[in-house]
Amino acid sequence: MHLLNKKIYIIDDNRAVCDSLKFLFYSVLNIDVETYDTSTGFLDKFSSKWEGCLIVDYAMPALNGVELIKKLQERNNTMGIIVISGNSTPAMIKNAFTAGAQSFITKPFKIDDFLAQVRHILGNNVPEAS
Amino acid sequence: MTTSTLFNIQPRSLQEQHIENKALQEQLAHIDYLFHATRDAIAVLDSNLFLRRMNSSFKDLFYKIFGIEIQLDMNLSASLESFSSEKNNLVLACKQALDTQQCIAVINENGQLHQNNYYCSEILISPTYDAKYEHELILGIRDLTTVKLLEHERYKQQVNLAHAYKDSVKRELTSAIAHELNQPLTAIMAYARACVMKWHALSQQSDLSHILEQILLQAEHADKLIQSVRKIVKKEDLYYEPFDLELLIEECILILGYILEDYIVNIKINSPSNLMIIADRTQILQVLLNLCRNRIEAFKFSFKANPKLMISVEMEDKMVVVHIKDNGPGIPEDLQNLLFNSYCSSKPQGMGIGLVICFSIIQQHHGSIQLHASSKEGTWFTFSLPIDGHRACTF
Repeated sequence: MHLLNKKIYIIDDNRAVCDSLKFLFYSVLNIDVETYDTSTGFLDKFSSKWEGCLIVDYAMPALNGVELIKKLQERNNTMGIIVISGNSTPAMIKNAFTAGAQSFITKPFKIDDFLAQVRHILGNNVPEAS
Repeated sequence: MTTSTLFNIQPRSLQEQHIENKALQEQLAHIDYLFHATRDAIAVLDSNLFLRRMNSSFKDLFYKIFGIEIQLDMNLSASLESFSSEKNNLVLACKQALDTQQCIAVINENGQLHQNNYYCSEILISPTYDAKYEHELILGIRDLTTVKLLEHERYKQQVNLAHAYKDSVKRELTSAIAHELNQPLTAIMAYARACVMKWHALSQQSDLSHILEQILLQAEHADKLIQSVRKIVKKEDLYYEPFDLELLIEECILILGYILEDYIVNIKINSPSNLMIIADRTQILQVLLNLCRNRIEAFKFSFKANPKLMISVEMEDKMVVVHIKDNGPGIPEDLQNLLFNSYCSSKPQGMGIGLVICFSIIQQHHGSIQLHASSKEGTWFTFSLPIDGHRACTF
């Protein structure tokens, strides 16, 4: 699978987080990034044919990150999912993994660790840096 | 017409007089019986404070308070010689009462509420008013020890509750500040890292690279500070204990009495009796208080007629479900989705932290809380808890 077909989708109600991560991925991974500030906005557009990596904030109004993941799994999502969260408890982490997330990272995260996890999900053909 | 006919005076026979005397004696005996049998402690003193009559309750209570076996014809003032402050208090009240004023003397031990040796009694001293007789005083002692101890216990509970609430607010605020600071910090770190990488990719050597690294380092340092503050105020473990949920709801309404004094709301509780659950009693009381107080205060700002609040409890599987419904003004639509994880409030002075605390407490109990419905017709909140304190929900 070529990287060109893959995208990173960021769903976070904090605009600054979305924009900064988009800038980071553009700069470092040279990959297309789409950002959404609501779960419902993302669900409206979602297609099970999409490939890449999902980065989902845990606490969001209306539909939180875990509820969103459950809905995506019902719709046959094949993308790997990283949950990012401003705080964490064992129950939150368990919730996220049980719903189908591959990783759970607490904000603010070590950017290099975060990038490593995104790379892992996208596959081995991701460039080290642009 | 004779005088006797005019006034209808008829000489009574000796037998009639005897019957009347007997009836009078029976009535007096009856009064005497009541005087001795009543659980109220009653005694009669003459104007020199000598004890003329008393019942056994008075004798017992007097002994309980002063440790003195009081007898008829004893002088009250003399018998209390070794209790100077109580004696002064009581004798002064008696003297005031002799001036035809009803007086109350309160006797309590140093005013200290210690469960083992505390006592509190109220002595009501009433003068007799009949001018024909020498003044007499009627003393009635009421033992208020249990009442006062209960009052004190309730006060202590409320103080504990206030402390617990303050702690929750502190924890939630700290957590909220940490959470909000984490967002910009994440953005700063992502931007800075991207810039460092871009700069390196351009193979540029200048101070800018060092400055960007510094931005990143400082942001990481700020993150560590936030984490350490979080650790200090981390949530305490729950104190699980079995308790009757219906009684807890009644206690909640009792505590909210101060609001209901100003604003009358018709409150109905519908719960199975003797429903024992295992949870942190103080924390669940906090949830009930927050939810009910919010609903009652919402009425205040709406001026709605015939305000009603209904609290009902149901069992579902191994969960206990509490419904809180009202016919108040409802919660504004734009706030409904944000209630439990944002600091929003529809009250003019509201901080919006109450429901966040409720959410946090119920989540810690492995339960769930939600706003079922809210419109102009009213609001319906529901929360559920595992009845035995164990995790019954599945992830």
